[in-house]
Amino acid sequence: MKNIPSSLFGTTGKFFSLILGLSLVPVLITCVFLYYYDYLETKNRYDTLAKQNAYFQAQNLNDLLSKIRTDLQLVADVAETRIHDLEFIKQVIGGYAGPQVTVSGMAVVTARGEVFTRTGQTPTAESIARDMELREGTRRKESYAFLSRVNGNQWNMVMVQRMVADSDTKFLKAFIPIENILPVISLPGAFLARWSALMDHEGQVLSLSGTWSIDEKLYQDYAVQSFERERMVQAGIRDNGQSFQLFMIPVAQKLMVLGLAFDFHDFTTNRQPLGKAVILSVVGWTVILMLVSFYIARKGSGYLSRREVRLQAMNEQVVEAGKMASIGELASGIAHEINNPVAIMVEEAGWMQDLLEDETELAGTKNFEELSRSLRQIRQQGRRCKDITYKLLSFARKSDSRVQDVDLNALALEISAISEKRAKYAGVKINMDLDPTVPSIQTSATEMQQVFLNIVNNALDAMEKKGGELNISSKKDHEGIHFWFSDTGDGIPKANLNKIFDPFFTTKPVGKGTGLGLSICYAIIQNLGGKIIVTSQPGQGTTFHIQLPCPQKHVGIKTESG
Amino acid sequence: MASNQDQDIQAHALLVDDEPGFIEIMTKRLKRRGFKVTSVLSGTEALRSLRRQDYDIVVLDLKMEDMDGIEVLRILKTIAPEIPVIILTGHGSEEAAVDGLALGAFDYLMKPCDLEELINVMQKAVLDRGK
Repeated sequence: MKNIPSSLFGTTGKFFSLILGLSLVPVLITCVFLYYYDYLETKNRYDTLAKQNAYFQAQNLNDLLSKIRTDLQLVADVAETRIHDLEFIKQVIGGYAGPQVTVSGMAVVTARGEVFTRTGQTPTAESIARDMELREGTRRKESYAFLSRVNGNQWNMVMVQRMVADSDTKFLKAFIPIENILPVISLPGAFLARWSALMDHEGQVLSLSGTWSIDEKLYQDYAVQSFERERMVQAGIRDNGQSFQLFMIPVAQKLMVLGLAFDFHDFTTNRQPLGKAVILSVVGWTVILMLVSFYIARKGSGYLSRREVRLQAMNEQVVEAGKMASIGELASGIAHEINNPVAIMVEEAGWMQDLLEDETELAGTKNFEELSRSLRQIRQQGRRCKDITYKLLSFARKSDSRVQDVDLNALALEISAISEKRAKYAGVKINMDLDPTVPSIQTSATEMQQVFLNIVNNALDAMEKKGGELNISSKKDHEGIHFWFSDTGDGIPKANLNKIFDPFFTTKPVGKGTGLGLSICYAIIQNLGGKIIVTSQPGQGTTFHIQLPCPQKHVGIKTESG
Repeated sequence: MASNQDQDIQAHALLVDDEPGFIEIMTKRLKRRGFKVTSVLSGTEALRSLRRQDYDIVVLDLKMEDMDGIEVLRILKTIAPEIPVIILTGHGSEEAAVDGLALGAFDYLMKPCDLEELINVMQKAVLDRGK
């Protein structure tokens, strides 16, 4: 009767998933946004850092070369003072090893190309002389530098400083293997280029550091471009599914090109903490939002289901009340319509009885007796119809009975006294446990009497065969006034439990009960703003619980019994 | 049919009921018990008849098609207040009974009722009037 319909759970389920879904949408959007933002930010930082790195390395290289140049000028100045003194010059150039290990060897060459002296690792005298011949005619400078492939494959950068003293011209040459340069100019600790390279004016790689895995031709184009324009060329390149940031910077006074390629992937791997933090925070927020929305959804649906249950209960009451009202109207109509024909039947039977009495010759015969019995039976059954219709009519009564102060405890005692004889006969013991604080209420005494008597009679009927106990108790609490009538009878089968208040529902044999008693009780208690709740354990007994609201004022406590 | 058991009462009763079957059988039975019976099927007929003739007693149904019994009773009590009225109805609401008695009805009976009970009340009413 009070079951929550299963569709309620369906609605709640839909509600849950809707809330969950809706709460996930902003989380996902935030997630995507944050991730994208992080990507852009990372890329931006990567570009900036790569560019800075490239500039720094180019700057380092230029600084290194100008330092060597300055050093060579200084050595030349010292050597010029005693330019013919071989030992002196040897000593001077031998003391110079260049910054770090960059300069591998030094040589002093005469204007005719003869090697005056040399120190460190230098190419052979012949190759030094050849270089000299090659450059002598074209360059008339104090100092210059050129690239030279000496001793097989080794590329050297050769820096030349002219020394002039006493009309004797000599040239100071410093040999710097290209391999030595890159390790010196790389920034320590910073994120490294995937590769860095020094190239000549055609983009041919002279020295390489890192992994060179990519299409050489592509880089050569950029190198040549940079060399010709005398400025840095920057390009974003995708190769083998990886994106590189490429820098080509002319260095060593347009002698070489410094090429650098930064791998974005390397960078993001280095930047993982940020990505992790982003993902962690997003996941954290997702969980928090989900918990919050789950909580809200639960509260919301709890409220909804409570509300629905309440509505359901209210609906049932309204339906029950409506049923009672329409039954009342119907009853009064039926009563009137039935009573008239029944009255005619009864009168006709009476008329037949009258006439039969005139037939004196029939008196005493067997048929006469049978006819008389039959007519009596008709009249008797007519009266039974009347009983039923008048019970029906009590539905239609509207506050007909006079309202007065009714002491419910006293009424219960009265009813138990009335039923004493019947209880004794049925072998039932009536126990009373009444709360003296139960107040009197304003109602019709006869109606309440009807309610109590009906329930007590039903209880006695239930225990008629085996006997048992009827416990009548009352109590007053914040909810109102309670009366319990508990019997130890056979109980009511579950199937019948929700029908017992329906009009004309009865389990008693035909002619024994009208099936109206409890319907009337229900209507009476309903009118008083109370309710009747019945609980039953088949085989163990039934309890009728009547709950009535406490009177607003006029809370008189009556302890005397009526 | 003419054998009267209650010869001491020769009261003239007006039977008002919109149920022909009921009127017919009641007329027969009451006549047999020594009453003089006039029957009408509606409230208006009853009032018309009351203007023409004096009755010792009126047996009145409450729920009739043309005019409610209570209304008939009210008018009756203004034109002939001395005539006792017994309400005999199948519409057994207590309000109607209280209303009827308040308007001066002698008694209130519910259909179907024992003929003896009705005659008993009728006799009482006639005797009461005679006082």
